[in-house]
Amino acid sequence: MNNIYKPYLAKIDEVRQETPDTKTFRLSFTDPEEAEKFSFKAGQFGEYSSFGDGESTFCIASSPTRKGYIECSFKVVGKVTNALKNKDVGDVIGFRGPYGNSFPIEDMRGKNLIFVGGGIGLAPLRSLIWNCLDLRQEFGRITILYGARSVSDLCYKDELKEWEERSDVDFVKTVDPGGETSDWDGKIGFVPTVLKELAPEPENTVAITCGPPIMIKFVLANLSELGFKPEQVVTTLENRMKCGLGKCGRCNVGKTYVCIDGPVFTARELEALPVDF
Amino acid sequence: MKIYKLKTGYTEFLGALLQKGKNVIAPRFAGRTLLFGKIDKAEEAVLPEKYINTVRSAKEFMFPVTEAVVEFSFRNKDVKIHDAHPEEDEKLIVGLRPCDAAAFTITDDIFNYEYKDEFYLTRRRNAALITFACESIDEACFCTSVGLKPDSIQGSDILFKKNSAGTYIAYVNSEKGQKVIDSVKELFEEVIEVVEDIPLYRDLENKMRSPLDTVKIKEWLDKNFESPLWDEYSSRCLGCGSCAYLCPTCHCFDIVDETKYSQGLRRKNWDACQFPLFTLHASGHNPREVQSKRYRQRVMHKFKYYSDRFNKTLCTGCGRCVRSCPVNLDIYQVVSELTKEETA
Repeated sequence: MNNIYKPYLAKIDEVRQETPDTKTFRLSFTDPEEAEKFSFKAGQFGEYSSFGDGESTFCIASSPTRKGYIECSFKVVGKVTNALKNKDVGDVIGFRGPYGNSFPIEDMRGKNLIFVGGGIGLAPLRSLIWNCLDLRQEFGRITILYGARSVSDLCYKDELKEWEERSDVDFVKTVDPGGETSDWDGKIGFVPTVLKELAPEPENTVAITCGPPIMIKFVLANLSELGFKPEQVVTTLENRMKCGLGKCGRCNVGKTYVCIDGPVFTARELEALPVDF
Repeated sequence: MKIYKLKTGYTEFLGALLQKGKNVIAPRFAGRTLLFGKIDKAEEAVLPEKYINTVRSAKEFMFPVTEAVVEFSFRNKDVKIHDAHPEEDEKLIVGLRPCDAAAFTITDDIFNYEYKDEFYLTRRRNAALITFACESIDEACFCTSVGLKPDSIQGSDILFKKNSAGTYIAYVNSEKGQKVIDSVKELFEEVIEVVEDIPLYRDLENKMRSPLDTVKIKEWLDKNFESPLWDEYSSRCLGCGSCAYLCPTCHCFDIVDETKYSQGLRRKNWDACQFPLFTLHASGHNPREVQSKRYRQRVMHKFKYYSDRFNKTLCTGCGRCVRSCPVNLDIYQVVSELTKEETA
């Protein structure tokens, strides 16, 4: 029987503590045949499980250009993530996926890209960022604006440094007012505000944003003010999901199921959806 | 379509099926509650003229209240998982009403598109639906509003109707249905002549609440996502979810692990969009944080979203949500009044 609810088994090869409440796992499939067959696109997600505790939805945070493993980052907020946080290298968890659509990377070729991320919302962007950086010559200018509530809430700190140092990436980091430390050398201000100051040119540019719903809301408004057309703006909806397969009804927004029609939407597509996400 | 006359009564028909070793599911009392259940003796089944409809629909025989989808065991770093298999025995679901039979033709779309849910589909393949046209209705019934009738054949493998003389006439609607007839052929006689249009069913149809204009309802819903009427109409909704649980077409579910020591099951359990936790994000953000938004979702899903996606109304007018609602919130009344508001 083709059991759509049956996960692959995946071994944790590496654990990184991103922030006090966020971890990243590097995973490889225990069955070599499954590992060989597996492929995904940036923007897709999976259902990760701790057997006995249940399943949770996170994006695949690593790039499809980096073969042989996948990575996921999660904030410890509930039952499943609390169980996952106690897992260690060598432990086996479940993975179903890849699910959903993906970032329209084909349409981004030859264009300037501006990534706008907030907090753990950098995870899906990170998959696309590395995907694009690994194919660097195929894109125009790449700008990354990333912010978090505080310095300690910034994810992927080593990679932020790498992007900061690269000459082919414009990297801007910010923390919310009050979240800075004495040695903070980035900006202080909310992501949408910093975006406005940065004022990226809409001409031949695609903006990709992900973060908390409230951040996305203001980022979309500010991009529009900067002259970005809704079809130039791409975001991801991370609705509550369970099956990931368009069956369980949980992520239903209008006629759309975020899990199969999304999670990636252009701002133009969002305009057509009822405000229910 | 072949048409047969049943030479005996309902109980004898069930008896013959049981004698052939068939697995028969029929309405029977569980305490005081009329529910579908496996019968061992024909007499356990309640005669079709004695009930309007069962309390719960027949959906649980394709989409059970709870079912294991994966079995697992774990001991330190050693994890093993296995498929859980849906039971593959053949079933005859007998005595269901046209609204319940039609419901499966609607939910088939969701379980059968893109990713195939073999748990539902296996049971669906293995079940024959033997429907008995309604002989009475109550004030909750509104199937004529959603394109059905007390004697609709949609979704049934066999539809039984009573003619004026009180004889059951079997309309065979599928190969599955023909097989059932063939298995107890001695009880049936093929009918060659045209069968009368039975006045009983037309009478019931005419007695039903006046049909809703589903096209107009959808037009209203298309334009009124933000209407203040949602607050007004849903203000007494308790969010108990009984409407969704009893509905033959509601199909939302949760996936939950259950363990005992180092072994466990991952289960699909019925769930409902009327519960506040249904859409609560891990972050604390909840897109439907108040009951009016959850009630709107229910109505929108039934009369707009499902038809936008699958071109079908997610409702068969069985009336269970109306009968079961503890605060008498009547979806028929709500949508008909909402629509009136626009024209007022």
